[in-house]
Amino acid sequence: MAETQHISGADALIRTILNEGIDTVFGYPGGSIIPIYNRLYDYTDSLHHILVRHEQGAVHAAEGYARATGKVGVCMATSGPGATNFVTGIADAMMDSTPIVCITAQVEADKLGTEFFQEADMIGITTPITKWNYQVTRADEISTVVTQAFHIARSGRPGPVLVSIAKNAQVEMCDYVYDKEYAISQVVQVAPRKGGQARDEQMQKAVDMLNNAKKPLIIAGQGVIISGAEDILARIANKACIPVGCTLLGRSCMNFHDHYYIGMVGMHGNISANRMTNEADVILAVGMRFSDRVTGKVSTYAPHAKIIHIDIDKTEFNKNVHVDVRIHGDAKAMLEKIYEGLEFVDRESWRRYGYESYDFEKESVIVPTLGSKSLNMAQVVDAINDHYIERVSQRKQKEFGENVILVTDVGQNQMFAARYLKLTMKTGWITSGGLGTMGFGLPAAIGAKAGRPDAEVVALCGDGGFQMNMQELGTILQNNISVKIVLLNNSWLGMVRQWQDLFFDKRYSQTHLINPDFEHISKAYGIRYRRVEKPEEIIDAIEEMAATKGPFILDAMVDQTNVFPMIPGGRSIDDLMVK
Amino acid sequence: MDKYIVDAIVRNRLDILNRITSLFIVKNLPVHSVMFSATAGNMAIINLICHCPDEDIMKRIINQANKIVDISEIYYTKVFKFDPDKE
Repeated sequence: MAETQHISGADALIRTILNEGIDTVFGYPGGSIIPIYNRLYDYTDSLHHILVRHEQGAVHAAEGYARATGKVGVCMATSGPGATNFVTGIADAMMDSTPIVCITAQVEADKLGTEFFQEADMIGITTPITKWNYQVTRADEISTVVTQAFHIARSGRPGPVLVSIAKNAQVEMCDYVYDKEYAISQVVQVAPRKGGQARDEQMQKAVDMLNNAKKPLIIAGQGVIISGAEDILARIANKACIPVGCTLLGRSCMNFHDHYYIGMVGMHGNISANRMTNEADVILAVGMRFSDRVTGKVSTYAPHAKIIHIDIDKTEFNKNVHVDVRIHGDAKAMLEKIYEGLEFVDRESWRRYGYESYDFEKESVIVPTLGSKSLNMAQVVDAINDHYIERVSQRKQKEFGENVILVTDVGQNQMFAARYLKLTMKTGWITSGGLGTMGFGLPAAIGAKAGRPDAEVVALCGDGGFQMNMQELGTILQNNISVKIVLLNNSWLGMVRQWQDLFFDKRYSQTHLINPDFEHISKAYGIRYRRVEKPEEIIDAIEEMAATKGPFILDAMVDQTNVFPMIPGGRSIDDLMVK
Repeated sequence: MDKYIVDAIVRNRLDILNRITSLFIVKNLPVHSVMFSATAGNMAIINLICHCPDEDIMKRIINQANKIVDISEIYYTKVFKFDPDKE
């Protein structure tokens, strides 16, 4: 039996966070949360609090921390505006299955619903965008509820949980006991209905389909990374000679140099991966959700393929695409079972088909883009591979990409990064996929570095997204967080401009940005800065960035090159654009 | 549109009704009636009546509801209208 202590609700909260193995939280104080911050003052040795500059920065930083460490990210804010500033980040975490616990303060329980100063109904606001939420009104609830919050955030398909704590519950005294087993036993969840036998039958069917397939393809998503299934995925591909494509969030689930890796699927994916999707007779989809950015026009998606879908969330089955075999479970455990039954089949000509498509893409898109005389995003990203990732990996005597975390913002910068970065299964890859949240990159990189100080963290941002959360440079300054920021600066909201260019008669409505002098901003925050304008300057600048110990802003003045290839939204591979 | 009755056994929590009805709202489906009865052991029974144009959508909603923490059991029944003229 755990020991009981008589402490305040605020103390109970902090002790539970520590008992859950969390060492870092991100937050911003305010009126209603002062009692928690007052107690936090006594825990500065054990719980590291990173003071952000805006609550949105805290929630994205918690996401970055969670994705970089595999632990639950924690962020805290006061009631009302502090809490509502969490909303975008919570929705982002929900879409991208990121485990975070958001602690928000609330007015005193007896003032609820009176339009009290800084009162906002966070339970009502966040119900559709959280996995679970709870309004705490008594101190004695805190231990159980916060323990449940961590369990729910990290179990099954991970996601965000919000706990709103009334001010009276923070100051009231309670008999505190941390009893994880009891807390989890109180969580009501539907018992699994399907027995193991049904799943074994589905598994056997999947193995038979894969063994008999002439043109099988694996599409791997973030579920592979969350469950740590990268190794078994590579072993399956190499054992049965099955090419592997990945989704945007699953970009680092396979080594870029693997014989069977054929690129990214989807709107700006590789031609090889998209063509193979179109030609495949069996698709094994693992830990991915067939988003519209992957499928395009659903009625023409993978027209010849029988689809086997492995996912931990059974609501994903048949949600967007009809699935022939559904396997409900953890990606790693399910792939290990499939591996046992797989046979070697020589499918070299099928794999070569993918490589031929890649050669076409190289000739029509990649070489002309990288060879451009004006500096573009692809050249900057490509230079990061050889002159940053390689350099810092060598310096730390690690494999290529090990201990490097690459974080992107959203837009063209994200697509160029996803297309041109050489990622391995040991490289960290953090991006905002489902919600596509501009402003995600910088705070997420701060969170990643806070969680993994041993890693080199690079944030690739566009000038639009960077300015959405640029205030977090103050967080870097105050906490001396060594994040490298590559600013892909073309003075445009690039992706919107691209759509205006291609589909709206070049009517560039409200997409041109007049930017501040980023050199002065860097100087104001004490961050080393370098600006490049020409392709021949980029290598030297990136090497300087790699050699710099503290934070660094590399301001790359890039042109307005569009991201190609592109399958326009709601269309099929037949409508592929290469220029 | 066909009529459906949804029955759920849930943990008696203040936001559980919102969580269930929001699954319908997000798909733009009207909920016509909700009945909530608390039972022993901090549990509750919810009976909800709605109209839906496609049973597949109902299946998806129930599937999603199955994922909500605090729901112990949930299922739907399709209400058939008996029309003597068509017999």
